[in-house]
Amino acid sequence: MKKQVLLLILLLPVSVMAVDMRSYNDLVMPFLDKHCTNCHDADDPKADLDLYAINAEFDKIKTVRVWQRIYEQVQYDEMPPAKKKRPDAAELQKVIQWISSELNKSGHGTGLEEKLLLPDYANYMSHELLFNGSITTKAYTPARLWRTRPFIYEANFAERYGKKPRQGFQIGGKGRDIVKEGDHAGKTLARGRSYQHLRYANPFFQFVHHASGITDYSSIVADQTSLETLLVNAEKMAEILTVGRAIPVSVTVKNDGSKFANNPGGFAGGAVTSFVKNVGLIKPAFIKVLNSKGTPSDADINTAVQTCFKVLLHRDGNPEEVRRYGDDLFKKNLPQGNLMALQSVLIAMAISPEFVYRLELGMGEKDSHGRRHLSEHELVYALNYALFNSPPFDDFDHKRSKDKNKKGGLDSPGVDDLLYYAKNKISKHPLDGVEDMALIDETLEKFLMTPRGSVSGLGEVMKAGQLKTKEDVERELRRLLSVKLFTRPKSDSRPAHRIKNPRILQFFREFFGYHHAPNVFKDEKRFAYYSESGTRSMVSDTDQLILYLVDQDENVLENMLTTNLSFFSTSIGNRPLKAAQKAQEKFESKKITGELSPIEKLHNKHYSMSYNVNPGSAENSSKKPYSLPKAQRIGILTQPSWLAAHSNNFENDPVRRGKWIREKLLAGFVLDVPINVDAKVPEDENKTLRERFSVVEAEECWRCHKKMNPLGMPFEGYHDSGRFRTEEKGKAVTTKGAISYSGEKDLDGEVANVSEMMHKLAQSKRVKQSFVRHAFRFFMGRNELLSDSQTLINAEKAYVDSNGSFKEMLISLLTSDSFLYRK
Amino acid sequence: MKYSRRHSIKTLGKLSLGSMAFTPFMNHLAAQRTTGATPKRFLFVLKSSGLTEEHITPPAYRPFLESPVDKVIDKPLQGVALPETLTSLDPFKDKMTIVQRISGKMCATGHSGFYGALGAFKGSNTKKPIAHTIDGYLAKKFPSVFNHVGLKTGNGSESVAYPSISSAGGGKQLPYQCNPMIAYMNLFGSIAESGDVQKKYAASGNILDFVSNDVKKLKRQLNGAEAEKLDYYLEGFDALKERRIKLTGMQKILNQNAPEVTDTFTSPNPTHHLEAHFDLAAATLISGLSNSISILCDDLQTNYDGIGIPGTVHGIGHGATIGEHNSEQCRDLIRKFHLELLSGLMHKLAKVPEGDGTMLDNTVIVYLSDNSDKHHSFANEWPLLLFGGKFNGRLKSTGRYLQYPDYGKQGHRTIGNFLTTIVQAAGLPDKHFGHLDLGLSDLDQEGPLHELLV
Repeated sequence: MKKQVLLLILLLPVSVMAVDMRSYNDLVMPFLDKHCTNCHDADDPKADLDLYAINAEFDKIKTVRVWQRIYEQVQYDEMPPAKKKRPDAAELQKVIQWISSELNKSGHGTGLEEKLLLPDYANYMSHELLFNGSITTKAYTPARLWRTRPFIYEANFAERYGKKPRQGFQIGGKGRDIVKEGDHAGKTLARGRSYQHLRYANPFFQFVHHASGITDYSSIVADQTSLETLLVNAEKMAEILTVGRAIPVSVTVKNDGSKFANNPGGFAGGAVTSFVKNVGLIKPAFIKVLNSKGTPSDADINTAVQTCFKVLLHRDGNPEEVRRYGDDLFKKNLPQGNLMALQSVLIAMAISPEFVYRLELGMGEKDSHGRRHLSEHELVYALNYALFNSPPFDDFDHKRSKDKNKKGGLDSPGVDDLLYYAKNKISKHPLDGVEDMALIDETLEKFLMTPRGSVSGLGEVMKAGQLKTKEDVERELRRLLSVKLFTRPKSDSRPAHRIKNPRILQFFREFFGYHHAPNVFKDEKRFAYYSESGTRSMVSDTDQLILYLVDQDENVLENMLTTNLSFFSTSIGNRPLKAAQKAQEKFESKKITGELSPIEKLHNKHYSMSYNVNPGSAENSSKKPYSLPKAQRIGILTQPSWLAAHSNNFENDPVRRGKWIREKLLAGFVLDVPINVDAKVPEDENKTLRERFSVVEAEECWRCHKKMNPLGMPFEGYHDSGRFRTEEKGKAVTTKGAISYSGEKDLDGEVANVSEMMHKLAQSKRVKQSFVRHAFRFFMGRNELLSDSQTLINAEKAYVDSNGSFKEMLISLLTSDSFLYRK
Repeated sequence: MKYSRRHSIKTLGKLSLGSMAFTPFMNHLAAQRTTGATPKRFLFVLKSSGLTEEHITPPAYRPFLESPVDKVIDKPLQGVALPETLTSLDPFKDKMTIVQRISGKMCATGHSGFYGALGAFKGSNTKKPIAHTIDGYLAKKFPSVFNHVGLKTGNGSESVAYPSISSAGGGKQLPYQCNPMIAYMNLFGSIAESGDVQKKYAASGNILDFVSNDVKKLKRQLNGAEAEKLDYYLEGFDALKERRIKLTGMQKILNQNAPEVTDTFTSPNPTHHLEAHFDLAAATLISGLSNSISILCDDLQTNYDGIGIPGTVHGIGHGATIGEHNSEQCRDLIRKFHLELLSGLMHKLAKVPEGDGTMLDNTVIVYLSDNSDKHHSFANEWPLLLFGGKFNGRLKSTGRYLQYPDYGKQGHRTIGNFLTTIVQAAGLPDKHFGHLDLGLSDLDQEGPLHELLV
């Protein structure tokens, strides 16, 4: 047999120069010989595939087709058959890579390299190799750029420059602040809001990798559209900082001696009743370059450039940078005037790569393995944005306003500012002509500080020189993670990205995907209790459950997969309740029988029916979760939000549910839907969904569906609204299913229902490891490489050793070499 | 990853910025006067949730829809009344063709064909497009200051959307602007700038050069995919610089043609946005800012409150009764609204003389759904409206009703054939546009709809 193979190799044409024949001979051929040729031989080739006839002539389409078949079979773990001995994981990985690389060279690529950068395909990386400990390479992340996520841009830019001004200030009325001086001394002054809601275009759209649910990944790019929007925004910003933004201000003064008291714009004495206020300018910082006649001095230009650095990039520019911005930008644009020269510096910074991307090049010290540590400035962003959407620095400086009663800042200038402007009709700024840099700094702080300081405080820590080492990172993480996350939101108006440590909730949202429930449209006629607002409540309920379990921080994953606890509301609005009560009185007086009473109808419409809870029979408490029947609710996957999110418009979606478990819990994968498959389940009113799904048991379908359907079918114990059920179409519902091809022998086997399946999964080592892999992706923003093996093993260990603490796992990940080093 | 990169505009790079910034841009109208070439413009108007055959068939021709047809039915529109919802198009009957019973089963079906409607291939909102769509392709072939302009309704604060409808090539989805005010600023903003636009844009040329040098420097510090990532950003710099120079030279023409900014631009109401979008589209075509525009009138979540239908398109698609209107009536109102807006745009183009006729004579307009015929579609039929008259001397869209043989029968045609017709009418040599339907392998599927070409 071997001779035949050898002969074939010798007969290969010399023309296939590009093929890596060495690997073909030393690696691939022996592999096929060992695992494949027993069945795929010349005499009776299984599946019509004779591997003795194979060659490496990748310039022939016939050969390419054969290798594509082999690739599919081994990549998707279809071959060798399950009952045969598994190939060595490392060897298998190399063979797959060889085939993929040769197919690529031949122009018939599998796209494997491209796919391996996307979270949707991250499970392609061998699970066994990542966790068997055979790889001891020192971990690192390749030097990279990570595009700013939309929320970060909003926090950095929109809060200050992206709002639409409106007439907002009122002087007069009965405010708390007494006017101390000026024409209206002694009168009261009230402040209104100076802006309407945000009006700006976010240059970084939210990208969703649908299969993985991940929205922020370092493989996402900024493109021409991003640049266009950034530039428009940057020009606006530059104008605000150098000229200010005109905000019309109306003045109403209550003048005791006037009969026109409280008459907006009409008080006695002919005083100015309205004026335009320029808000936001930091003219004092730029006064010298703006007012100079002729070319400003180098020193003045440098000061202005440094101020731009501080304001926009939160750091000092190095001398070379300052020189370049001064010479190549400021001076070059001087012919357009001093103002435009200065604006060009600001604009350039706000479209610079540093503003657009988080730069993680590894600017710190190099170690003996050729890896470079993140510099302090890189680290402060990496760590801060792992947990938060808002910037690590206070808006301008870390110092807070000394006067606690005065919020100050850009959005709501203090009383003094207002009066000054009112008196002087904004012709001059108090600091015009001031040359003292310290005074300028102080003014900067006053004018730039917004009411919102940094949430994390990490900027301050870095400036104090305490964010350099792994130990520093761990200390800060422990501080930041000690905060309790659980809050019961009052309404939907508290979006997930606004809570404390929003990234932790975001991770669980993207991992489980339950927050998509409101996107699945269902005809409300099907379920009285199901509505779009109901689905939003369901999502909020699951949010709370997640935060509650993270705060408990014990066996977090296991609990999330099996808990019978749940949050939900049973409250009913006053108006509908009163209306129903009124109707109920009539109903009772008429003694109607055989139909539901108005109150019953009202209850039946409540979304808590998705939890099989009648709002009339349950007390409502928002601080603690409820215990629901253990047979009905078994973890997040039985929360109505998850079930609805993983259903379609009309019915359950066992395929998607099974796929979710395959990918998220078992670290497995399913072949992309073949392009010629028009997947449709035949309609039949008399059959249950399970019965209708029997069509996919045909061989060509089952090849993929066997990895999904048995995992998804146990959820037939629920309506697609999330309500538990025991019957479907008048028949007792069948909930059996199976875990198979999991890669963990003890885990495989049939299950009678969701409860049995979830408890089995919760105990599995592989499931824990899969969870660790997904957390890695979310927090590192990339797919795991083989060299991350030790990071993953340590994170799993941290989780297990701490009795299932999510926080310990997270600390392990964020203090790992994968997080701290670049190469 | 495979990244393709636009060629940098080398000639521009060689010129000094000062000389460039003040060179008047020879806009394409002027250019045509010297070359004598006929301008070619394209507008695609899409709606979601399907467009059925009955909706656009003149009552007199409805019987054709009933019985199976195995020959092309070719009837004039002159002398027959259009359906009530199409009456606003009466003045343009002589340029119009109602195209019926072409299929699109090579596209995705369900709630949307995504790129399929304009690309004739299977697309998805979860995957990158595999090829260009016709608007992206024509934008490349007939470039202007903005190669492609996409406009879409969205909710109030939304700006750029990626609805998976248009593509400039494999992996290159084209964006749609939802916010009319931002669209206005992008297209006509240069005339609204305070101060001297020329000065400002000259400065911005310097800025773009400066930053693109920084980006290139950074790129050298990175490897492989990370470096290529920056190409996406880099390619914006040249394009933007070029655009600004052109806009500087177009101040007069932009001032003449910019749409009036009314409160429809800033209204929180999507229907008002759509009105603004049509105003913008007309002005963009007339001023020559772009030759390829796509308007996506709505998506499944769009609410037509502004015309008295408080409810989503999705709900209507599922048969919801909204207020006094049943779902069919709602669909009628929506379509009527779209077509009135379209008619308004055509009136505007028809008022601008060009060559021997008007600007409208040199514009191809298509109205169709991104999702063939129904809310949940199978793409057996893809009814659509074509306006083009004798466009380019190659088209015969002169008041006709064309119904092709049913799916699978000899002579049956697909959306790919329709798109090919437009491509060939534009004078491009492509034999076929889009993918073939594997289910029709025994039919000759390639080529245009010959009935429509001269």
